[in-house]
Amino acid sequence: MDDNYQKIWESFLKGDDAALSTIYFDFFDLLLNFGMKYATDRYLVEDCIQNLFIDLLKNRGKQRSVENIKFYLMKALRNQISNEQRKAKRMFSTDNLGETEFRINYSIENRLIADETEKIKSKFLTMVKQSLTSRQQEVLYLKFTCGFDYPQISDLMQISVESVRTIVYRTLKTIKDTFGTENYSSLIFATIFRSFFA
Amino acid sequence: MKDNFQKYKLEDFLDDHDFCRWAKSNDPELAKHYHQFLEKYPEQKTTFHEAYQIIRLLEDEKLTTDPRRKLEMWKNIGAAYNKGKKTLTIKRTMRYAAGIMIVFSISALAWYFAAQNNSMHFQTAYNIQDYSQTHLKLDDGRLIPIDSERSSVEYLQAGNQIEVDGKAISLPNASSKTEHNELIVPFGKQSKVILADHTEIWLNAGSRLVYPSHFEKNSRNVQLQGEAYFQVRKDPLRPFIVETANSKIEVLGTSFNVKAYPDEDAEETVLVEGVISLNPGKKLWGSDIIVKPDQQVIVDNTNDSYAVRQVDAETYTSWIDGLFIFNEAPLPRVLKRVARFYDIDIDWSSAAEEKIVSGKLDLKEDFQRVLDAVALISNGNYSENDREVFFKLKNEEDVTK
Repeated sequence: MDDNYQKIWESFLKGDDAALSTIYFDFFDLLLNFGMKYATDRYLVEDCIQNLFIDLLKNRGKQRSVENIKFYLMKALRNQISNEQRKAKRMFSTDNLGETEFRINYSIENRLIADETEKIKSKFLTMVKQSLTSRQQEVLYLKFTCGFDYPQISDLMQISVESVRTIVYRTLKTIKDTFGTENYSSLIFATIFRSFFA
Repeated sequence: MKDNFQKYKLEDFLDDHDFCRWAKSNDPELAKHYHQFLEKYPEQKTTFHEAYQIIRLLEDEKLTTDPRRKLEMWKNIGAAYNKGKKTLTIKRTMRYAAGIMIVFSISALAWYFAAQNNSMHFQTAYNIQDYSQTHLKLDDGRLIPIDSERSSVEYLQAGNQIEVDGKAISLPNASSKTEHNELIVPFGKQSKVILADHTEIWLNAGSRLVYPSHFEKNSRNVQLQGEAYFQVRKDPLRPFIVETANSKIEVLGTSFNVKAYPDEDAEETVLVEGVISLNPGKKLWGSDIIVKPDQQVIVDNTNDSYAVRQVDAETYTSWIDGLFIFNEAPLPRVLKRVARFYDIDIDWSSAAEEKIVSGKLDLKEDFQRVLDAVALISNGNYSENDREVFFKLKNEEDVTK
């Protein structure tokens, strides 16, 4: 799958606009979802995605192959969004506008919850979120939801790998503590995944 | 996975990159691998499952985007890139108008979906001249010959059966993949096909049409070589796309005629009713021509240039009723059409090349009667030998005598 995009990317670099459209259509929702963690305005994120692709086209000659296209695009989008937010901040000269505050909604939080186990799971997540800082939530998202590794997270958040490690460590501890205090483990996970490993 | 797996605590599992990747992806190969570890270290089962559950819990809420909207933004990208400017903020207000403009913005989508379905192409291995009968090619390889001069093929909505001239033929069991069928109508024949979505297509002599036995959820794609008249069933959620060698035509529900023979210099599309958008040259970011009823678009096959002119659309669709109406048309155009329809060879003198004619031919007559009529209106005459015809003008003969 990734190899495939690698090839598509290469043919884009060689001048094939059509190749870029494949990347655009396949990655759009992923980028949108990623961008929405850093901005509340969907239109802003959509504009940033468009600008990102315009830049890709404009700078095609200067670009070389990239190791991980998904990561490359996400990082570029993150930069686009930060720039836009900085611009907005300058324009309105207020401090609390357009701050890159990390925000995430987990799918289980918004689901209609019917059974008891789901309710407990949802409560567990709310607890975790409440006790984590915005940075910790971001790390949690980049690591678990996006599946990035330490160097990638460090690159994205513009902090050292060591700092990432520390934040991950603290985050995991919080999760574990939350997990322990209310004895979520036995409640949540008693009956699950038999089928999966049967 | 690390060697010290048996000592993993909850946080170690969560911190393990490979473990997380697997928990998210559910790759069955890896599952086997982890299963073996658990057999070996059953005491780790609980912690393992907890870690797995937590990762699964961290699934974020997913927003999705309507494909049309994605497409619209893709067009913005193309437009901004071509202008060399980066002015997208103004586009925000325009988005609200997007709903109405759907029809206008489709060729890139067509292109995109075509790129996805690149399996759907004419097999160039065989030539239409090799066929004397109409043939229906099914995706399972069956090639069904059809005897009649003016045949009909209907795909029943259930998707597993077709009727050829009223006779039922069952299709292979509907698989998940879209099946591609082809109707080959040689010179001298015509055919009408009703697709699974009730779109009706009349194929003129010497034409090929590739189409799926059932359409996909988000688009309806067909490919045409030759001439066809389309009555497209309205379905706003699934644009209907006709692709020829050099044009991409996008419609939501309308009637139009397309003529795209490989041996002609230009492709012609005439709209009877509705709206279509046409991308000459099938350029990724080429601007689409919006075609209105009674307009004809002529796309030059050599350089993709095009012209739009006002015509009487009926003239161009009369062939489906067995009539051929032409109004101030070059004589060779008329002769070519007659040749194609009757599967005969017609050649003409250089003087005939320039002659302009108007008239109406009844193609239900035999070809001699039709050629007599052509001779009458063009003040010409012809010689015929075993379906090979040479056509010249009368005053020409006088000169040679």
